[in-house]
Amino acid sequence: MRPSFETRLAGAPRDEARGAPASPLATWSKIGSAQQLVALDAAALRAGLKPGMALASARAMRPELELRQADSQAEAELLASIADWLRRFTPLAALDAPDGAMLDIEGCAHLFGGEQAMIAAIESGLRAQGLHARCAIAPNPALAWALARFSTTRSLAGGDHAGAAKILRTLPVAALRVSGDIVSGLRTAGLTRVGDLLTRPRGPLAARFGAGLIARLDAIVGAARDPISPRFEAAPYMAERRFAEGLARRDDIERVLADLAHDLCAMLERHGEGVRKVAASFFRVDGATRHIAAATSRPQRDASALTRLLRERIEALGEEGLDTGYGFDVIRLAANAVERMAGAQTSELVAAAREKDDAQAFVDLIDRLGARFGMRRVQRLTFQDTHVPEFAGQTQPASFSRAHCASRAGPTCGDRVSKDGHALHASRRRLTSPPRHEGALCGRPPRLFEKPEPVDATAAVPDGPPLRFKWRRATHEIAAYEGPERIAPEWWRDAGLTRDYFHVEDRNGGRFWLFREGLFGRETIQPRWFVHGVFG
Amino acid sequence: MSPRGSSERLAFLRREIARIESAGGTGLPRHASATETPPSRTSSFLSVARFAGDLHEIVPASPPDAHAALALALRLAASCAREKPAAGLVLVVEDFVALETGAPYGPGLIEAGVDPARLVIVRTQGPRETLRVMEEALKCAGVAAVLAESAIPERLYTLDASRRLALAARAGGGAGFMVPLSFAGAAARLSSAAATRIEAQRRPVPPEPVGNNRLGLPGPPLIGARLVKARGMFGFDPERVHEVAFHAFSVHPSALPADGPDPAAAGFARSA
Repeated sequence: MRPSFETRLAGAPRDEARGAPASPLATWSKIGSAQQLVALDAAALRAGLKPGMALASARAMRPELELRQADSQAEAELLASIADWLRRFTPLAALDAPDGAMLDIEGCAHLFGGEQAMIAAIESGLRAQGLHARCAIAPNPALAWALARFSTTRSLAGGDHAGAAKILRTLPVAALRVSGDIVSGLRTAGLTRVGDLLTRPRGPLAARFGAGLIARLDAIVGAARDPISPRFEAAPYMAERRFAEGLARRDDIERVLADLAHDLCAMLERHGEGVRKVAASFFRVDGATRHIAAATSRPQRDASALTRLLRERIEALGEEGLDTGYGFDVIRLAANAVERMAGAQTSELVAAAREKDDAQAFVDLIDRLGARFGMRRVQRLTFQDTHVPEFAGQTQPASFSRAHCASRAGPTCGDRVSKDGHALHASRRRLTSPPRHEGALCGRPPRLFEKPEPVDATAAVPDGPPLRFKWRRATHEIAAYEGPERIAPEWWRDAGLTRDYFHVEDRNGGRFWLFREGLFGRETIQPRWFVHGVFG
Repeated sequence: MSPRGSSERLAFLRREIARIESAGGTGLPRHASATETPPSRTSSFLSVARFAGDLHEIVPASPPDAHAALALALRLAASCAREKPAAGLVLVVEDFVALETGAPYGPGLIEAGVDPARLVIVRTQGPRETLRVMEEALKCAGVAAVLAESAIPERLYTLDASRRLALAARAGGGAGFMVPLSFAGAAARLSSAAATRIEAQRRPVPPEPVGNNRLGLPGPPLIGARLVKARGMFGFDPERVHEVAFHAFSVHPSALPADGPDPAAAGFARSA
C-alpha cells in the first residue's frame, strides 16, 4: 500500500498573527438563485457559521462578517500552483479539489528526515506563502483525506493496523467523503462514526445508501484501490539538485543543468535508452515554479547536446528569462519520454564516416532550432495517399517525426492528363519513379496557397480551359495550358465539388496552377475558378 | 559624379576587364570555379562548387518575378544538397512570404529535385528571426544549403548582417541562398557581403502545339538569370541574361549514383 499525503488548505489567519482580534471571513457565491457561503475561515466557523448558509442569515448572525465573492477560477489556479510547488517533495502530486492536494510519497519521506519532518517542512513552506495547511500521512488516500480533516492524528504508519482500526472507529461518517444526503441519512439512522458502519452487515447498508458508500468504506480501510491522478506523469528518469539558498545567476543555473544532464545521461546509458522529451523544473524559494521543455528528433543521451537544448530554451524566454526572483532552491531535470538507443560499437566508431557526422550535426541543428524558435516552427514534409492536393503534401513538426531519414520512398499522387489534354485516369503512381524524360512538364507547384485564392477567369466554353484570368488586380492572358487534371472529391469523406486543374502559362512567362471547382451542368451552373499554386 | 554616371563607369570597367580577360588575363588568380569548371561560362557561374561555403543572393527582377527567383534558388539549393549526400537542406520561410507566394508544397518540391527526407522547413515570424535561423543553420556542418525567402527591409539586410551570414557559411561549408523579395528590381543597388548576386526573371516559352489544344502546351520552364555580382570571378558580363532551363532534374535525387557528380543532373542545360 502506498503512503499518501493529504494537504488541506485554508487561508492563513490574518489578524491573529498580528495580535489583533480576527473578524470572521467568508466567501460567497450565487448558487441557483440563492447567495450562499462557500468557504469560511476558522473565526467564522467558531462563530457558528457554516458553508451553504444563506448570505442573509449569516449577516444577521454576524454583522461584522467580512465577505468576499468566490472566484473559482482563481482558486483553481492557486491550487494548481500549490500542487506544482509540492512537486519538490515528490514527482507524483495530484490536485484534490476544491481545497486539497494529494501526494504519493512512497520512498520520498526519508529524503526529508522522515514523515514528521516532511509534514513540518510542507506546513512551514506553505505558511511562508501565506497559506494555512493541515497535512496528514496515511497508508491510503482516503484515510489521509479523512485524517487531514477530521483527526488530530497526523501520521499513520503503513503496518499499524491496530492504530488504524482505532482511528477509524472514532472518525465521523463525513470522513468517508460521501454526499451530504448520505451523511444526514446515516446520522438519522444513528450511525455517526465510521466504526458504526464497519460493524454492520454491508448488504443492508448498500441497499439503503447505495454501493458508493460501501466503495468509500473499502477505500478508507484499504480494501480497494483508490488511485490518485498526478498532475504530471512521473518521469522514467530524473535528476535533481537541492540548495540551501536559492540560485539566481543564470550561469550557475546553466552549470547545474549541465551537471543534471550528465547524471541523466549516465542513467540513460545504463539502461540503453535515449531521451526524446526532456523537461527542467525550477522551484523558486518563494513557491513559484517554472518549467521548460525540449524535444529531440531522435533518442539522445549526449549531455552536452541536452545542455545546449535547454540553454536555447532559456534563451528563447527572452528578457524576462526564468524570472529567478530570490533564486531556485530545487532544480530538477526529467526525461519524460525515452526510447531504446543502442550504444555505439567500437567498430562503428572506427568506421564512422563524415556522412554520419553530417547527419548527426543536422539532427542536432533541428533540435536547437526547435528549442529556440518553437518545435512547431521546425517542420518536415509528410505525404498522404490522397489525390486532394492540400492533403497530399503537408508538414509536421520535425521533432515528432520518428527518424531523420525516415523514408526515402516518396509520396503518391494522381496521374496527370495526357498530352492531348483529355481526361486522366485516377490510378496512382509513386513519385520515386525514374527521372522524367527531357521536356517533361512539371505536375505540382513547389508553392501552394494554404487557401486557394479565387480568380476571375474567362473561358470560351463553361467547361473549357481558361483564356485569361484576373488575380490580385492583374490580368493574365494565357499563352499555353495543360489540362484538365480532374480530381474528384473523396466521397467517403465530406464531399465537395469536382476540381479540374490546369497548368497555365501567361504571356509574360508566369506559370500558375488553376482549378475550376464544380462540373458545369452536373454539380453547379456557375463553376468558380481558383489559383492554387504558382510554378517558378 | 551622378549615380547614373557611376553606373556607366562601372559598366565600362567591367567591359574592360572582360576584354583583358579574353585576351589572356592579368595573371591574377581566378576563382576556382572559373578555371575548373567545364563547358561554358553559363555553367561555370551556376556551378554548384561555386556556391558552397558562401552567401548568395537571388533577387527578382520585378515583383511578379518573385516565383522565378524562388524557383531558381530552390533548384540551386537542391543541387548543392546533392553534392553532400548526408547533409540536410534548410528552407526558411517567413509567415508573410508564405501568404504572398504560397507555402512550400512537398510533391512540388520533389519535382524540383529536393529530397524530402533531408529537407527541414523553418517557419519564421519575421526577417530578424529569418536572419537568426539562417546564421545558425549555416554554421552547421551538416547542412548543405540554406535557402531563406524573406521580405527583409534594407535597414535590416545590412553589410553587417550579410557579412555574418557569409562568415557562418564559410564556417559551416554550406551554401546560403537569400531571396530578398523586398529588393525586387533593385539588384544593382543592393549592397551586401554576398559572393554572388543573380537577378532572376520569368521568360516566356513558346508553346508546344499538340492535338486539340488550341493554345499549345507550356514548354519547359525557363528562367532568365543575370549575374549582377560575382566576387572573385572575372570576365562576366553583368548585362547578359542567361536562360536557365530546368528539365533535366531527377524526381528522385537520392537515387543518383553517389560516386561522382552527374553533369546532366546539374540541371542548367541551356544558355542563350
